[in-house]
Amino acid sequence: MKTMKNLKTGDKARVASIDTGVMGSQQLLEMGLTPGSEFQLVARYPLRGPFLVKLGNNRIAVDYNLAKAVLISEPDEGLERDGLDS
Amino acid sequence: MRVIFVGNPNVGKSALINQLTGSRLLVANYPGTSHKVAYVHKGEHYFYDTPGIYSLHGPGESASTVRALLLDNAPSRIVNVVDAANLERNLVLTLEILALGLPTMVVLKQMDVAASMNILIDSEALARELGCPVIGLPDVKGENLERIMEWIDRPIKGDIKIDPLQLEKLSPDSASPQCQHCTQACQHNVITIDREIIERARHIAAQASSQTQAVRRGRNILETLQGWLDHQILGTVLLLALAYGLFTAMVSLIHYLEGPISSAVEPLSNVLTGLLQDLLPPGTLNQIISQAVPEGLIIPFTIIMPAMIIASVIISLLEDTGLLPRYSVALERITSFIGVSGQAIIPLTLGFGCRTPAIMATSLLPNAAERFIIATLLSIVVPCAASLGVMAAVIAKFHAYIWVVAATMLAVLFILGFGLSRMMPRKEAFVYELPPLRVPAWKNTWSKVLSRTGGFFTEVLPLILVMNIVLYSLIETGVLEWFKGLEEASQLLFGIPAEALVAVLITIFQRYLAPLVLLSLPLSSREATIAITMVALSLPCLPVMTMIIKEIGLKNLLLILAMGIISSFTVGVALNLILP
Repeated sequence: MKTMKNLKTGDKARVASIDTGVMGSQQLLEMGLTPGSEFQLVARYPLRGPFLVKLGNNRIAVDYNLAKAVLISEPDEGLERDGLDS
Repeated sequence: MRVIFVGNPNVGKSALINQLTGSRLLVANYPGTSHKVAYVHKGEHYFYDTPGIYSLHGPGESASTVRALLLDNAPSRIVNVVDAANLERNLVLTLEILALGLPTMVVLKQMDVAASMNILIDSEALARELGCPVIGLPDVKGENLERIMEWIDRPIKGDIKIDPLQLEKLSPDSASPQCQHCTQACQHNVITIDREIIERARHIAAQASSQTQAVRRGRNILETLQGWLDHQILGTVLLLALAYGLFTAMVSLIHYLEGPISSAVEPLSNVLTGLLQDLLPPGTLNQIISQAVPEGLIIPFTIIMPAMIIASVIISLLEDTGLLPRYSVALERITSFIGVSGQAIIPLTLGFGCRTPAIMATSLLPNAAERFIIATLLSIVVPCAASLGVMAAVIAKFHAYIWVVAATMLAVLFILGFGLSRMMPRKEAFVYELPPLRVPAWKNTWSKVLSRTGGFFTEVLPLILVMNIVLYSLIETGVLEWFKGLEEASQLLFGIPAEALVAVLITIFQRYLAPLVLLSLPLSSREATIAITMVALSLPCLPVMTMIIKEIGLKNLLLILAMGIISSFTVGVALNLILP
């Protein structure tokens, strides 16, 4: 299954589920990145840096390891780009 | 009556209390500015400011602080501050609060920002859905602040009903249930957010607000700028360029201001010297006082005050625009190298203004290990505005090698941070909400500049005056002569004359004194470079030490002091070996 880590800058996706065994996942849920919510990847900082995600009108920076714990599905309107890396 | 202000991080709880009561709670544009409960007393009411939380039932320290306050004080009223531009997410907390059954008012803030994003919120519809009064701010007529106060003043009819079931949920025992994956108690975080509440928040937000896409008049300047800054490469380059630009602008401004200021205050000092010489009976006391007092009064104004003013303007602006937290994200890789989360950039930057509030701000870091690392780096390495002014003066006078000083400081920062982080491995995941860029509220920025520079008159000036008198007494009474015996050892170890070593030993305990004791010595560039670097990497000033004891304890302060002395001497010996 795809995770946030597979997204490219500009891609939109929907949260399928979050692995709650990973540190920080509770904070993500509290900030509104809950299953079913749609977000856009704004930036991926180099060298395994944080992922910057736009959620509604919020911007949330997510740790690289935590991004791997966010399972995603495609958004409703086919807004995603082609060629996602695996 | 108790009024407790609760809301998500960075929605403007403290700012609202300031507006309502005229208080001066610290306000800045990043989450975590208020980390402790503070209260303001006005009339017969106590206004409680709380740290921002996303959920009452969250696992963090902030959430348990708010829970404890709600349980402890049986509050009379709750004001739930909500960001109108992020209604859905904010309503999760609102619904949790309403379930408690206490008299609650929802205050929608950032209505203007929401409007600029074409989000229209029907406050009346929201009030109907939630079943509590809803007031939006800022409003065109400017009446709504008064309406909030009217609601607070209104007597409560009947008994306040607190839902015992909901209250039980808030108690500490039930807040740490087991993880779904494990059969026994474990380190895993647990989902405590109610799915049902999230769905209801989504539904209510949809009912009460609408976003029109059609009349979007293009992006405004702030949004365009934010787009650039939040880009992984362009943003990082822009932020680093800005930091470099601000720093060099500060250093050259300090340099240019020194001349005009000293020529302005010099006549005053001459008059004062003459006056003191005439007034006091001739003798040793006359010599000490008539030299030490005018000098102790002038040096702070020429060397330290400009640096303090410029640094506090720059830092207040970085805070209030929302630029500062962007450094936290862009530089997260670098801070993770020294074992701390990205948020650590905030206290480290504040340290360039004054280290006392910077130590206070370390409480936005997620754990004790990170707080200790940052408190250490702030105490030993980060130069505050006053020390920067002092260092700049010494470097300029002796043409010391500025790049050697800067590189040594950076090297010590990374070595110390890296070493400490290996001893206390980091466990936190970096999750951070980035606030939107804002045009600063000028009044707030200005009052921060004033409070940051206030320390000049209450701490810096009196301290330098007193210490300068002590210093002159030592010189006059010949105590310093005794140190001449150290000449050989000092030259061998550090490559500086014994007098400079004495100066370094004095300034290790009080950095502001560096110019007083170093500027009068005949030093070469090499000697000055070694001396000023040793001074720069030494011990924090007294107010900072007090704050460290308050925030992380005496034992940690002693550790930091030991590391400070070791780093100062190591750097002296190392530079003596390396420099030609």
